Parts: sequence; C-alpha cells; structure tokens
Amino acid sequence: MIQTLKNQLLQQKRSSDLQNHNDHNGDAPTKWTKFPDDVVYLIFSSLPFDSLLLCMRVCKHWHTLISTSRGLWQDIVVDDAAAVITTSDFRLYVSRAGKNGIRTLSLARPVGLFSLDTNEAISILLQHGVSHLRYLDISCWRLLSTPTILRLFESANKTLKHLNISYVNNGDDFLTHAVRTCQNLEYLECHGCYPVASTMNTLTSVKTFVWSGKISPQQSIVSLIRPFPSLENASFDCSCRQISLRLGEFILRLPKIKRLDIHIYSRLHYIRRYVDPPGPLDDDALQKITSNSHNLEYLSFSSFLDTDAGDTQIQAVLRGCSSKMQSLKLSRSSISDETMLYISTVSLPQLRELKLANCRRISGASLVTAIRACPNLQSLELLYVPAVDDRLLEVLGQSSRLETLNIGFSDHLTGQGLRLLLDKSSTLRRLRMIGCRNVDSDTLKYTKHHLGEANCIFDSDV
Amino acid sequence: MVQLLSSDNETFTVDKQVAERSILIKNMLEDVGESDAPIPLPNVTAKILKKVIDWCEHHRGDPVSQQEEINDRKRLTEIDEWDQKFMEVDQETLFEIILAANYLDIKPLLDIGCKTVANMIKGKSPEEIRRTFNIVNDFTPEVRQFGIISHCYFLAMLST
Repeated sequence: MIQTLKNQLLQQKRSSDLQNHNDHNGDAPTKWTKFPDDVVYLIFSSLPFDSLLLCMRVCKHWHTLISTSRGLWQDIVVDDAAAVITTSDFRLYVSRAGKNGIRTLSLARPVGLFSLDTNEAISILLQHGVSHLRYLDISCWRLLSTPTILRLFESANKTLKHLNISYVNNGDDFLTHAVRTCQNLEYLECHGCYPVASTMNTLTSVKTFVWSGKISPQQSIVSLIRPFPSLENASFDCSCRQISLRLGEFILRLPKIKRLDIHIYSRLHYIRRYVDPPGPLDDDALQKITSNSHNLEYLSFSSFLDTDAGDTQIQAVLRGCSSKMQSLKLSRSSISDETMLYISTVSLPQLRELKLANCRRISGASLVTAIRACPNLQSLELLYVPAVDDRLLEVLGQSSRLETLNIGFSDHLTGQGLRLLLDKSSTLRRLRMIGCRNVDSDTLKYTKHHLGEANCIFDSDV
Repeated sequence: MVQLLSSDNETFTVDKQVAERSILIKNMLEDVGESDAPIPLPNVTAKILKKVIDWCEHHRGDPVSQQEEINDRKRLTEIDEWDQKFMEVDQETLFEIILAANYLDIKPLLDIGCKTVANMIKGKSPEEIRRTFNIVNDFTPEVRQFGIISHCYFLAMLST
C-alpha cells in the first residue's frame, strides 16, 4: 500500500518536473498566447512610452502588434531622462499615430533632445495634423522659433488643454501667444519665465496656472492672475521687488480658488524695517475673501513681510473654508493667539497638514487648543516657533493621528518633553528637530532607537 | 440571488447585484429572466471564479460606468491598495483572472489586471521581459543585431 502511494507520488513529481522543464524550454506555449490581442493591447496601453519601445524588441508578435496599433502612438510620453529620440525616430512615431495625429506629447527632458531638432519636430507634428492634440509638454526645448510655435498654437487652438512651456526660450512670448490663441486651455505651466501681464488677454478656461520666475518691478504679482479669473489652482514661486503684497489680494480676485500656493522671496527684504505695513483691508474686502475662499482646500503662503498674511486675513479665509481646509501652511506670518483661538472655535475637521514656520507671536497655550480642534492632523511643522516646549510635546503625544513632526530650532524644548512625546504617541513616525540645543544626547539616542535612524533628523554632531 | 457554475462543476451563490458586475452575466440574466438554474461559466475554474467573486463583493458599491474619464496623462499605472493586495498572486493565477475578467466582461477588473501586468513590464529590458513571461525571442539574429546597433550601422554605411 505504502509502496504504491510512494510510486504514485514519485510519478506525479516526475511529470510536474517535466512540465516545469518544458515551460523553461519555451516549447510549451506561453500564457501570453492565450491572451486575445485586445487584452494585450490594454496592457500595452497602460505602459509608459519608453517601455513600449522596449516591448517592441521582445518578439515579432509584439513588434507587429505595437507598431500597427495606432492608439498606442497617440500619446508620446517620455519621462526617462536617458531616452534618446532623434528627429527621424520622432517622424516615425508620429506617422504611426495615423491620420488623427497625436493627442499627447510630453517630451520634456533635455537629455533626449540633443538629437532632436525642435523646430523640425514641430513641423513634423503640423504635417501630420494636430487636430487632436490635447496635451503638450515641451519644457526645456530650446531654439524654438516664434513663427513655428505660433503655427502650432493656431492649428491646435481648439483642442489644446494642457500646456507646459517651462524653460523654453522666449517663454514669456509664447505664453502671451498661447493665451491669445488657444481658447480652451485649462492647464498652464511655465517655470523660469518673465511674463508681462498687461499683454495677455483674459482666458476664462484656465483652471490651473503654475508659474515660477521673476517679475519686473513695474508690475504687481497680483496682476498676473488678472488674465485667469476662473483659476482653481494657482502656484507661484517667484522673486519680486514689491515691498508689500497681501494674501487677501489674491483671494479677492479668485472666486473659484481651491489650491493656492504662493511663495515669494525678495532680495530687498531688509527694506521692511523702513516701510509702513500696508493698511488693514476693509470689511467689504474681508467679506469677499470669505465668500471667495469657500472652496479652498490647500493654502500655502510664505512671503517676506510679516504683515502679508495677518490675523484678519487668515480668519476671513478660514471663515469661508473651515470645513474643507486640508492643508494650511503659513511661513513668516504675523498671526497671533487670536487666529489660534479662532481655529479652536470653528475647528478644522479635514486638516491634515499644518505648518506654522516662523510664526513667532503664537503662544503655547493657544497652539494646544488649536491643535485639539484638528482631529485629523497628520503632519505638523513648527519651525522657529518659540512656543514649542515640553508641555506642548506632551499634548502632541496624545494626538491620535500625528505622523510627521518638525520642531526645529526650539530653544525651550528639553529631553524630558521629547521622551513624553515618544512614549505617549503611537502614530509618530518621522521627526525633524535640527537646532534644538537643550535636548541632551541621551534622549536623542533614545529617539533614534525609537523611530529608526532614517526617520529622525537632527544635528549632525549627535 | 444568482447561482454560478464553474467549469469544474462547482456552484457559487451570490447576490444579484454582485453578479451583475459582470456584463456577460447581467446580459444573460436580462435575456433569460428570473430563473433558478445555475448559469454555466465554462471558461472559468472554481478557484478563479472565487477570486473574481471576492473582487466583485468588495467593489459592489462602486459606480458602474466611470470610464471615459478624461485623464490627460492616461498612462498612469496606479492601483488602489486593496486591489494591489488582491493581485498579489502567482503569474498563472493573475493571467487566469485577466482572462476571466475579459470573458465575463468586468471592465474595471480587467483594467486592474492589465495594469498589474504593465507594472511587471515597466522598467525591464526586453530580455528580462522575455524571462519574466517566458516568451521566446523569435527575431532572426540579423534583426536582433540591427535593433541594437542600428544607429552605428547607419553611420558605418554612410562613412564607407
């Protein structure tokens, strides 16, 4: 009996071995052959473009399938910085998309562009027709000529929705042309450009505007949003010579805003000592700020003057969006206990991220009440906030969701508070605390052990 | 309740709402009307059918047709966490699930399966792809070489 069982088992093993062997030999038909072409097509269509090019070299069947599937060539999206695409490659790819032309062109990295004649590439696009072109990312393309770009914008003026012309030559010029020509643009991104707002038309279709660069002293940054009254997302990162610029002035002009991210730096920040702060906004303006910010989910504002985002403005904003606000980041703001107490009365149930860097007028007690009013807080940054002390850390330890904490440059903090935080919190995973001079090295070692070395950052000499 | 019969004659009883995630079954039910007879699914084994039903149970509340969602960079290979866990199976099973989803016409499941396979392809060289999926390289040597050194080849041709 046992003998026969053994034999049976042996036989089974042998046959399965044989099968494995066959599989590896490649004689047995692979599973792929079972897939109908439309399933394989679906798989290919969720691949990035550069992987697709590699797939063409796998086997004959894939080569034929990929090179003849027009739909796969309608979206040329190359993210791989090492990809080299020559002008003749580009011509081939565009021709494979068939008569409808391509929908998406995202060829942004500079490495692959040395071999690509940019003006020729755009001419190729135009030859095959751009009546379906929706997405165009030509960041870092150099030596583009204005007539060529203009022809492209004109031919795709109805369809083009997403445009990224960061770091191209003449970016400011192209931006003006694009806004004038393309009627349905929704997304506009241009880094490293110096736009002139006064030459731009109004374009209500634009929902997202991402910009970084410089602006001439004659014009205000606020004027840059004038052409786009329906903006939902705005992100500015710029250097300017203006002396005062208030958060409220942006929101006053943007009734649909959802995400506002404004970061301004100036080489003239030393002037601040010699100028009067801007006067307060009147009640009508504050009311308008409240009604405009009712969709606001994300607000990040850092500016070089303390008075640019003060108590009254922040409270007016929060009055509009306290139930929706997810991320609030204020650096160098002059907000005081008044705003903290306001937060504790309205409460911010959706708030996940709070950053109050360099807000030096907040006291520990009011910060505690504000944090208690944010039950979903996951990330907290209190860089250069003098109110951070042992007592605050103990409260933070009880916070049920807190994962990331940055308490850099807190002079009042000692090792005792840190231990309380670590012992009480079960959720804390990342901690940054550069420049906390009064924390002893034993506690720092304990922290390192507790959270893992990669998750805590403090001064290098520890 | 609807009864489903797998290819190896195992019967599964599921909610109608769950079964109707499959367009094939939905159409069958509409054609046949109310009936107690189990629906035969000759292309799906019990093991795979169970997985597919699990998926449908979890996604029973999802809005049915959310496709044609306009996504400008459509080649995103993001899969939500539960589905990712669900797809952590051996290659054989994964392929069977994709085939079943295709046969049963469950578009979202098919998409997730295809994305999972796409993620396995992404970042691999042709040789690695062949090894992963056990595909035979059927290019003739010249073609193979040509593919690799085509540029050098052209340059050499030009210079001589």
